[in-house]
Order: sequence, then structure tokens, then C-alpha cells
Amino acid sequence: MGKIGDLLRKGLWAPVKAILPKNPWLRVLVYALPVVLLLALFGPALDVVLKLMDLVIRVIEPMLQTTVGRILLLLVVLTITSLLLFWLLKRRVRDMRAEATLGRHLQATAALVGSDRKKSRELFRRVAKYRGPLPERYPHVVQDANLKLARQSLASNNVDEALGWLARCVEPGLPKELTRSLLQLRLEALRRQGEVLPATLRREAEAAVSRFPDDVSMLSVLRDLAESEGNAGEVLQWQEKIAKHAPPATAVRERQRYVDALVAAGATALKAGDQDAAKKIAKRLQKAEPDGASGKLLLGDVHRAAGEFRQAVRVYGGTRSPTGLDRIAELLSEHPGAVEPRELLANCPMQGGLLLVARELARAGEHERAERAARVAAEALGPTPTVCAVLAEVLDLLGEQQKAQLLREQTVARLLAAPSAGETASDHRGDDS
Amino acid sequence: MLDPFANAAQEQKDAQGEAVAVQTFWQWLYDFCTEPGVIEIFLSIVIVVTVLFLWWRLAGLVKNARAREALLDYLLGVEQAMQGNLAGAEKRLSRVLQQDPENHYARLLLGKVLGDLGQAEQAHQQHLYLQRAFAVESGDNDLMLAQSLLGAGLPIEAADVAERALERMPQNAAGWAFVYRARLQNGDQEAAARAGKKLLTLLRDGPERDLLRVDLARTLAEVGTLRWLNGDRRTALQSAKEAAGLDAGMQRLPLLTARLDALEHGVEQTARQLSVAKTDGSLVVASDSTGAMSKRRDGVLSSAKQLPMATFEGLLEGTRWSCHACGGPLEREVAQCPRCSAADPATLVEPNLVATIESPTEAMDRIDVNDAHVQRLVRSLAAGDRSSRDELLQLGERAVEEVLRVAWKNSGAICDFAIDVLRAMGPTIAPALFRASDAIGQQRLLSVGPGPEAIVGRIVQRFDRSALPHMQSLFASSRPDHRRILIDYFLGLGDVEAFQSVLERFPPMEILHRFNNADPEVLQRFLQAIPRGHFVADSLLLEHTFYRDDALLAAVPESDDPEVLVAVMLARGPTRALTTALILGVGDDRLAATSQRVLEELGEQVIEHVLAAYADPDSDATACKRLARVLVRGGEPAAAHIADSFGPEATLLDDRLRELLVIIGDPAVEPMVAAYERSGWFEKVSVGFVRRLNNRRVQIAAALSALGTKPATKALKVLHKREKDDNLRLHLSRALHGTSEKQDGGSNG
Repeated sequence: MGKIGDLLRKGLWAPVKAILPKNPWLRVLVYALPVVLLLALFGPALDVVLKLMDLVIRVIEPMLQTTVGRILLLLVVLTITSLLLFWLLKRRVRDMRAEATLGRHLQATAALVGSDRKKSRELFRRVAKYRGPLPERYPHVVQDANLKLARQSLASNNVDEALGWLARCVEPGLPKELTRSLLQLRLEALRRQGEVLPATLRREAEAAVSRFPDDVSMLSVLRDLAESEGNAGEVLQWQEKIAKHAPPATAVRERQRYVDALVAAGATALKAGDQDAAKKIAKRLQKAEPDGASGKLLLGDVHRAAGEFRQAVRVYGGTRSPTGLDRIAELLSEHPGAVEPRELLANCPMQGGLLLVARELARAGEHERAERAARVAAEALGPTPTVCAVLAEVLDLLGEQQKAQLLREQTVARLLAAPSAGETASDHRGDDS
Repeated sequence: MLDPFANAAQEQKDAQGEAVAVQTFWQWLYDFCTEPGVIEIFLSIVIVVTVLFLWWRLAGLVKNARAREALLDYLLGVEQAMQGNLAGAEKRLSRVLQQDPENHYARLLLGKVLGDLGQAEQAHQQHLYLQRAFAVESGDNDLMLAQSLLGAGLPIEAADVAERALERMPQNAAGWAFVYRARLQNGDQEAAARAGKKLLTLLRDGPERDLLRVDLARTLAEVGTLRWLNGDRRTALQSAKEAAGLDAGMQRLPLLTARLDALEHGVEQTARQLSVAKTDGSLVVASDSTGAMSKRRDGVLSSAKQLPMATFEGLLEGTRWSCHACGGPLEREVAQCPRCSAADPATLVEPNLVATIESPTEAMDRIDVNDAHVQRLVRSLAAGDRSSRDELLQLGERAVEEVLRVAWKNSGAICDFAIDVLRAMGPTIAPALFRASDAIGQQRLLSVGPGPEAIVGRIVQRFDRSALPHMQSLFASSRPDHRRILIDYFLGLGDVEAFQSVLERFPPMEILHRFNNADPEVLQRFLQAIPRGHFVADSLLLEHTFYRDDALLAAVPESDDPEVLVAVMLARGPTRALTTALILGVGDDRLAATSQRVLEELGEQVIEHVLAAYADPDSDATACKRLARVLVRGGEPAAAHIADSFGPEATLLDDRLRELLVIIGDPAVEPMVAAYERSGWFEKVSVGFVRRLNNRRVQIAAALSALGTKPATKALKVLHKREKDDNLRLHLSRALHGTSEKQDGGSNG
């Protein structure tokens, strides 16, 4: 029985509770109203109330006679009602505003992901201007919008505007992801802006890298700074890290750049006469590019610089690359007879080595052997551009200019000849390269 | 006629009426609005609608926000993707999709992130989900789908998908750039050129556009080259013009231009012009066929110290590598093509340059032409490599000693190959050959077996008169090997007059030795030149120690005087060698007539051999026919041999022998009767106990019956009368019966 009574009581009170305001003062007022009315029954109090009502009616009545007055009254009523509602639903309105901003931010993000830059920028701007209560689920909405706007400004090469958006970001309290973006974008903007002192930029970059040591973008700034300062060692250091941390899509390019940087550093060291450093770089090159030829080429250059021509030829030949052949050709041009043809071929056992032997013999005036070497090379290699060029050169050296000229003509004619009926386009394509 | 004043008044009235009507509308509106409650209601409606609209907008935004799960992960994942933290983004976005699978933007971005992480297959899966499972019609998603396909190594499909996506968003420059790259990677230059042109119209002026112009010019030049290869000059020229319009200095253009010029002016002339310009070191002005007066440098681009890759500067690109996908030049062995983004694209332009030499030592030996090289050449020659022969011939005297050594040390094919090479070198190597022979002879420790002189003799036999001066010195030599070489040489000359000097200096036995050892061809040539009454024919060739009857017979057809050699053969008589040669010669069309003639003239002496050859089951039909003719012409003696040749059992050969007897005719009757009568010793000793019936007698009876002439009939009757064996008598009776029937038939006929 008691339970039924409780249920009945709760059921009857439920609409009342729902209607009752949350504010405790309002609740007191609502509870106090019947008491006041009861008191009003007692004469003076009631009179006072009636007189007040009469006063109000007297004030309103003239206004009700005119259109303007009626409009004003309507506006006043609506305003008071709105204020009252707002006052009553203040917390819910705050939540709704925050959620609406978050919704707008989500719309902007969707537009960004969907490559609708214009729409996303407009929406992000509105979010960035928002100063109201922040949504509980993502309180960093405004900072995030600022960052997105900064990124877009940078993408459209509007650096100052980007700096403006970044400056509006409040760093304390940001999550790690947004902090990383903030630092990254700030570095990029400062680098592009160009008026910041290099030392400042370096300090910023180093601080950023200390917090996010595998961020390729930040590392790139440091590398570029080192490059602009001409500090090859530091460039290598940063580029190595970049190549290590670069995402797969760009890793190939970055690794190539690292190799290039190493090659450049090796050449610089050689030029400066620092052969030990060059040797170390050659080792690093071989480690960075185990299948590539650049490490061995640099090592060969080191031997060459040290006057160890045989070793240089052996290392160049070991690359099994056309560049290796070129280097040997360079070496032999600079130091004719440095290596015996037999030793040359043994150290460089490539068919291109035959061309080197032919040229070397022709330069040494050994006509018959040069001629034979040229013939052997031509038989082995076929009429490729390099072969024809070297053979023409050998013929020139042998004093057979007419033959050389004829060879050139024939080679050019071969390049120009239209394919025969039986020959397909694909058959002929290789000749062009 | 109307009054003008009345008209004017009427017009004024109409104008006033319209004004009144206008005033009436505005008056009505004013009156309506000033009615109590109208404006208030209108204002209330406006305010309520505005409030409702704002409410609806806000509610939409709120609903949108509240519908999203894992919001923090989503927004931070997006930011991570933007900042390049792909691993973090992938983690967060995957988590988002686990909680909110309908967050299409998260899925789209996850696909992109996965693509950038190199997980093209997974990226493709995400984009495919969006396209098919959620039916999201998004050009961006389709483009990313295309990118994932390209990442997965399917450039054709990628380009097709991207082109379909671009139908919806034709102004998307990134999309066209992707199609351009994908088509290049696919090697479809024409489609790439189309995409590139579209992209060019979408890009604004700037470095990116300039780069595209240069690249597009290359693509167009490649298109032109393909068209040139297909023989379409007109469109090739058009492509060249377009390329020149975009970038006149592009390196691939001069080759295309020169090729098109060559089509117009001829390859040789164009090639000569280009080569002359190269030699002069002048600048070559590109043909005006493209309309672009582009100057190209025709000097040496690469350092003269290096291998001159770019000899034909301006025509060829001086790079050692090219992209296997788009064909673009590569400065080095890059891991990714900067033009089409193909992975591991570097292909060597001249791969042969770095091809391994199997043996550098051998290659150097070949250049130095040392002994090792010559030995290798001879070995490979023996192995059937004909190119070695040419090289040995080129080497000439340098190779003589080694080749002679190989010929001497080996036998069979290797020896023959080596001798052939030395012969082909010609008489000029004669001194070198003798020197080599002497050198090898001196190196021999034990003079066991024939020395190299025998080989030298075989070689010089093929030399002509030009070697005579080299031979003169040998006359003075007393060394037996030199004497042999000398005889061989003169024998090889085939000149009987010149041979006179040999006849005068050397004993016949020594000459006969050389005859017997000479190559068949050499000896035949010599024998063919022998005139009638010459000492060689009348004396030397009749010697019993001359064994080369086969050469005698073989020399007859092309002989200057065949009767000389025939007479020699007849004079030599039926030696075993001659008989064998003659019988073999019967089967040879060239020698058949001579062989038959000599065999016939030799007569009974060779009948038995001829009959044996005729009976040989391995003999061919033609030879048998010719031998049969010889036997038939042998007459009675031949018939006697044939009649004795029937075996104890009947065979197919008996039929052929009977035929021969029948062809011989009446002269064969007497020998047949004699053969019939002849009894073996066992038959005689047995005194009639052994049956007389045997195959010989049956065959003879049949032969006589087949002959059917009067002497044959008579012989049959006599034999029948004398015969006591009943079976034989039966055979003879049947033979006689057959003969009488034949005679009756003949008389009736």
C-alpha cells in the first residue's frame, strides 16, 4: 500500500518537478507564492497588489491604443520572456553553444578532409572567433581551428596571416598533438617569413626537436639552417635523422638526399685534402646505400687523391657502373699509363673496360693493339653511342680521321633511319635512349 | 475628324486614373497595416520564424557533434595526419572507425594516411568501402582510390579510375597531375600528353607551371617519336611543333626534328650535315620544320676525360640511366623517378658497358694476340666455332706456328680444321710455315711418329704458283722432310711440266710414296694433267707399288686425255684395288661409264668380282643394272660363272641370274649344259645313292625353258634323254613342254 502511495505521489509530483526551475531562489519564490497570495487575502497586502496592477494597467493602456505602443509592448514582452528563459535555461544554452561550435568545427574539418578549402576556412574562422564556453568533449576546439587556419595560410603562402593565427594559440594546456603542430607550424612560418634572425629560428627549432625528436618537418628546418650556414657535418647529421624518420612516401627521396649530401660532403673533404674524413664518409655512404656505387666511387676518389691509382681503378671497377668507368677514364686521362691495360681490364672486368683499353692504347701510340682492342670492344658492345664515340676517338688518335668521320656519320644515320616494315616501334625505342 | 483638345483631355484623364489606382494600392496597404493587430502579428511571426530557424541551425550543429563518437581521436587524428605523424594518425583514425564506422571523413583520411605509409592495399580497401559499401559519391575518394591503385603497382587502372573521377570535377589540378603521372608510369605517352595539356590550362603562372611546360614538351616529343616510328610523319611533325612551342630547348626535340628532316631530305644527307657540324664544333640550328629556331650546342657536353657518352650532342641525351616506366633520363641510379614517381626506375641506357667480361685475361690475350689466344682460337675452331677461323686467317703468320702445332699434335677433325686454316692463309705463309715446322721439329725430344713436315706437305699441296719462290730454297736442302714437301708441292700444282724437275731430281720410289700419300683431290688433279706417252703414265703409274687406283679412276672424267688413264688401268690389270674401285665406280654416275668399260675390257678376270657385286644384296638397283650389263657383255665365260652360281636352295637371286642367262642367249646354252652335267664329288662317290635333284639343275632347266631357242630346246631334249632322276626328268619335261608351248605361240603369232 505504501509503495502504491509513493508511486502515486511521485507521479503527481513529476510534472510539478519538471516545471519547477532548477534555481533554488526561483524554487523558493514558487513555494512562497501561495503563501503571499494567502497573505494578500488579508486586506492591505491585497490592496497593495491591486494598486500595483492598476498602476501597470494604467501605464499599458495608452500604449495599447496605438500600433507603435503595441509593437513596443510586444518587443518588451518577448525580451523579458527571452531573458527569463535564458536565465532559466542558462546552463543548457551554454552547453548547446559549445556543442554547436564543436559541430561547426567538425563541419570545417570534414570540408578540410574533403579538400573544400574555402568552406573549411570560413567555418574555421567562425570557430576561431568563438569565445563562449568550450565543449567538454573537445575543449581545444578554438586552438585547433587556429592551427588549421595557420596551416591553410601557409599552404596559400600567406605567412603573416599564418603567424597571426599561430600567435592566437594558447600553448599551455594544449594536448601533445596540437603542441607539435603549433611548434611545427610556427617554425615553418618563421622560416618562410625570413625576417627572423637565424639564431632565433635555430633556438626555436632546437627546442621543438628536443620535444619531438622524430618530427621530420622540424628536423628539416634545422637541416636547412645548417645548409644555409654551410655546415656540411650538421647537414649530414640532420639529414640522417630525417631519412630515418621520414614516412614511407617520402623516405626514398630523403634517403637519396642523404646519399647526395654524403657525396657532396665527401667531395668537399677531398677538396680540402682531408682524406681520412673522406674515407669515413665513404664508409657511411656504403652503409647508407649498400647496393649503390657512390660509396665505392668516393673511396676510389680517395685512393686517386692519394696517388694509389691501381687501388683506385680496382675500387672504381668494383662498382660495376658507368660512373665507375667514367672515373677510370678521367684517371687515365690525367695519368696516362698509370695502369697497364692488362691490369686495367683485370680490375675493371666490364665490357666498357675494353673501350678504356682501346683509348689508352691509342693514346700510347700502340696502333695495332689499339685497333684490335677497338674491334674487340665493338664486337662485344655493339653500336651504342659510347662505343661509337670512343671508337671514333680512337680512329682519330690513330690518324684515321676519315674513318672516324664515317663512323660518326653512320651512327647518326642509324639514329635517324626510319624503322623498317618488320621492325616494331618497341624494337626501335631502345635506340633512342 | 477628331478634336485635338478632346484627345488631350482624354489622355489627362487616363493618367489621373492610373495615379488614383496607384494611390489606392498604397493607401490600401497602409490601411491594412494600420489595422489593429496586423503588424503585431506579422512581427510576432517574423520573430518566431527567426528564432525557430536559429534553433534549427543550432540543433543541426549540435546533433552533428553529438552523433560523432571518439571525437577526440578523430580531431587529433586529423591533426596528426596534417602534421605528418602518420603512424599516430593511423592509430587514432583506426580507433575512430572501430567506434564510429560511419565516419566517412575519418575513413577517407585513414585511406590517405595508409597510402602515405606505403600500405597501398589497405588504403585501397578503405576507399573501396567508401565507394561501394557506403555508396559515397566523392571525387576525392575516387582520386585516393586511384592513388592506392598506383601505389599497388596498377598504373593503368589507377589512371582510368582517376579519369572517371575527374569527369565529376574537371577543374581539379591535383587530379590531372596524378593522371599525368600515372599515364607516364604506364608508358602511355599520348594519354599523358592529353592529361598534361589539361593540367597546363588549370595551373597558374609560376614555377610549377614552368616545370610542367618543360616536362610536357618532353612527353610531346616522345609522342612525336612514337608516331615517327609508326611512320606517321604528319602527326609526328605536329607533336614536334607543339613540343617546340612549350620548350624549344628541350633535349629530346633535336633528335625528333632531325629524324623528320631525314624523312624529307634523306638520312644520309642529314647525317652528314649533323656530323660535319659536330666536327666544326659549330652550333646547329634546329630545322625550321618545327618553326622553332632553337639553337643547340653540338660541342662536347661531357668532359673529354670521361667516356664520351654524348658524342652526338643535341641528338642524344647525355645520361647513363633512363626510367624504365616513362623513358625519361635519369642523372643517376635513383630509387624513385622524379618524373613519373615509379619505384626503382633506373635502367642503364647502355647495359653492355657494365656487362661482365667472362675472362679479362682472354680478352687481353686477344688484344695482344699472344700464343694463348691462338691456342684458344684453334680449340674453339675445333669445337665448330667458325668465327675463330676468320680471326685466325686475319692473324696470318702470327698464328702459323700454333696452328701447325695443333694440327700435328691432333688427329681427325681438329687436325683437318687446322690444316684447312693454314691452307686458307695462302702461299704467303710458306716461309713462316717452314720456320714453324723447323721450330716444332727442334722441340721434339723423341722423333717417334711423323713430324710436322707431313702436315706441311699436305698444306703446301694446295698452294699455287705464287708459292714457287718460297720453294726454290728447298731444292738445295738435303733434308728428307724438305724433299717430301717439295714433291708434295709440285704434285699439288697439277702441272706436269713443272713436275719434270721433280722427276729429274728424285727417285721414282720416293715420288711414288708421295703419290700414295697425297690427298685424293691433289692426286686426281695431277693425274688429269698427264699427257699421252708421259713418263709418269708409261712407267710410274704402272708400278706395283702405286696403290691409288681409285684416284686413277676418279681422275678420268675431268682428265685432259681420259684414254691415257684408261690405258694405265688396263695395263695395270685387275688389281684388287682397281677392281674394287671399278665396282664402286659403277654405282657413281660420273664414273659409271668408265668403270663399265674397263670392267668389260678386263673381261673374265673380273667377272667373278662383278658377279659377286651383282649378288650383293646391299647394292642399289642402278648399280645392279649396270653390273648386269657388264655380265651380259661377258658372254659365255660370264654365263659359265652365272650357271655355277645357283645355290642349294631357291632364292630371289636365282630369278635375276636366270634372267641374265636368258639375256646372254644361245652363248649361254653350252655353259648351262656343262653346269647341269657337272656333278659334285659326293654325288660321284655315292654311285646314285644321292639324289641328283638340286636347285642348280632346276634353275638351269628353267633358264633353258625361258630361253626357248632351238639350241636351248635341243639341249633340254638331250638332258631329258640322259637324265635318270625322275624328278629332274619331270622338271625337264615341264621345261620342254614350256618351250614347245612358247614355240607354238611364236609360230601362231
